[in-house]
Amino acid sequence: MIKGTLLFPLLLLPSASVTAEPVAGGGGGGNISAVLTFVLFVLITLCITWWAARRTRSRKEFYAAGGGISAWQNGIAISGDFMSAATFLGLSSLLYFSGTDGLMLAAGAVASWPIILLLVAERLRNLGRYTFIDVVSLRLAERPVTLVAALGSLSTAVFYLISQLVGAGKLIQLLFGLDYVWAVTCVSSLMILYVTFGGMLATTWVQIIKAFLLVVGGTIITVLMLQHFNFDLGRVFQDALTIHPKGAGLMAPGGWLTDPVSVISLGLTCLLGFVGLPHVLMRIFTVKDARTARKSTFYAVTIIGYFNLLMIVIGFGAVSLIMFNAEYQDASGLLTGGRNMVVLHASHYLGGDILLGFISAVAFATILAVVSGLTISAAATIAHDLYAKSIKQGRATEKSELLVSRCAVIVIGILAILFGLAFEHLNVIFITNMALSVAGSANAPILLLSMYWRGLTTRGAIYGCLAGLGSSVSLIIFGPQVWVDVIGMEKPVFPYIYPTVVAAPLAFFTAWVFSITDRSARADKERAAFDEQYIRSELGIGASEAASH
Amino acid sequence: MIMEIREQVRKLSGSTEYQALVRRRRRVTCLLTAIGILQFGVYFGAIAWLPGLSGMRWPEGGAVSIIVWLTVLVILVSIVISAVYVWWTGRFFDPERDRILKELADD
Repeated sequence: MIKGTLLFPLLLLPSASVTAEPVAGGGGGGNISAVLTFVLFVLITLCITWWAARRTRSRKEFYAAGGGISAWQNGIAISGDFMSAATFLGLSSLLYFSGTDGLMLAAGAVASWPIILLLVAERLRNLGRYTFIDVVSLRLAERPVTLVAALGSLSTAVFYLISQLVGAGKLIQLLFGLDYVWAVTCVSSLMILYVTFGGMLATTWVQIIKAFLLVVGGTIITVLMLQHFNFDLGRVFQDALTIHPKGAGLMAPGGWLTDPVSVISLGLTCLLGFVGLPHVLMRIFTVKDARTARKSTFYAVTIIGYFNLLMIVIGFGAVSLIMFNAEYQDASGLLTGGRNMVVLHASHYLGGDILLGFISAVAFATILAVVSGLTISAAATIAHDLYAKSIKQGRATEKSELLVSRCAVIVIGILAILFGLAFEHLNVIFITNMALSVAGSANAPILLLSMYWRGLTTRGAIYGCLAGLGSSVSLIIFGPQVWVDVIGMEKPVFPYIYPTVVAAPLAFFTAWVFSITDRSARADKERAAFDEQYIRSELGIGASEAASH
Repeated sequence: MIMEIREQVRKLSGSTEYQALVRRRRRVTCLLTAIGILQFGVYFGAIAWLPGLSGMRWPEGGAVSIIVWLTVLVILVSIVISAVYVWWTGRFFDPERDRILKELADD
């Protein structure tokens, strides 16, 4: 079913596969350019936070940057949310070790974007205010639907946050020589500062700067790599085939996921998982209207596509540069620092300590930006969806909601540190998988059904969401990543890594069954309200207006 | 405000121009979504059920297999689909939408 232990490196970062050995060239610990680049990044982003804090006074400014982010800015920020350190480090690593198997993630991540653009982005902007739950609960019973949808949204954000922080702690320990505890505390503290004071505006600009640095860093490595091969792209692949132990197998799928069901499940996870990521969906609300949301989604897919193409060149090109280069091997012949260090070693080979330092700092900035995005998304769910809509039932004052948001950020930050420390020695790969699977199996089905199916009722949405959430989490627990790798059982009860092939259809089916069998008067009203919602989603009548900065 | 929105929605639901506009957009969206999902299906289907074919080198004797070309194609097609939609909506949908909404406001 699964060969090896390299399971979906997206977002998992070094996790269990990273050891605290120094990176060639001094990594970041002794690398002055890494420290300088990082300090500069932190200084600039703190200035931005100060600037943003003066412009963040209302709910709309805190959750959605006042809706005044331009299409370009939002496109870059969305791509930044998407291009996590895992894409940067994990994707290049998967391509380096497993060859074409890594391509599934590169293609799947990009190919999900037209679906987000065509089916979700505009309608979401036209119907919602701050979170996707606004849309899901628009014509349904607000309180119960919000409570259940918040469970899916929070699970996704928190699972992602934990996996990012554990990976971040290990990576920073490795790159900068910082102790793990300090590394996790440092990332969480900066994240709390950005989000508490600067809200979505600061988070967006941190993401924009990081995305810019990431694309520039990736481009520099690719150009230097192509220069190394005399700009002969064919040689990049030919040399990789010659050197790699897999030989010709490097160009054939089947090294990682070996059965069709696992491949299809991964495809579904990419397709639906990215559609249901709350921190990415929340960015749609930061622009003034659906037209801008549409444009920004196009910019995002272009940047993500370009970046993933770079990753393909870097992943294969790195094979020739570092695979049997003693400078990048430890005593046992493995890659120094762990499997996810491919791009860092390649940058050191191509650009020496200066490029390594820059890329290390960019990797750190990437983590910082992504955890900030996740935190504001979780805070919005707690303060806007749970507190203001469910507990106060729309009667919360702006001041109290903002206070709850900021308190939520601090609590999330502290919990993130505690979880980060608690999970330090645990292989957290399954947590990453849970995040994307819950997004694809719980969030995406009810979001799509609420926007496109007249028949969806409160009962259907609740049971559908719970079915997707429960089945995705439990199938991961009974799957190879937890049942075998963590608990230590001999064989998994559920044989596939990705549960989406079962969990997502189950969520859709459950929502359908419980909706069509709902004969209540409330259900009739909800069905009747669909036409109005549909027209509003098409034309944006009544959509919240933007504020200018 | 809510009553105003309801009134606008009521008027629009009876508008033939609005219905025609929505139909046109639905056609374009469905076509592009179908292409997007089809490429997803073909790509993952090829890896799942035709690993031998997708691992074949193309051109023969070259270093790159069909799946690498397919990956590049999927990425480029995704960008093109998005570009076509943004262009079409900007060129045809938005002006018509603005006109319909303006007429509605003038009424």
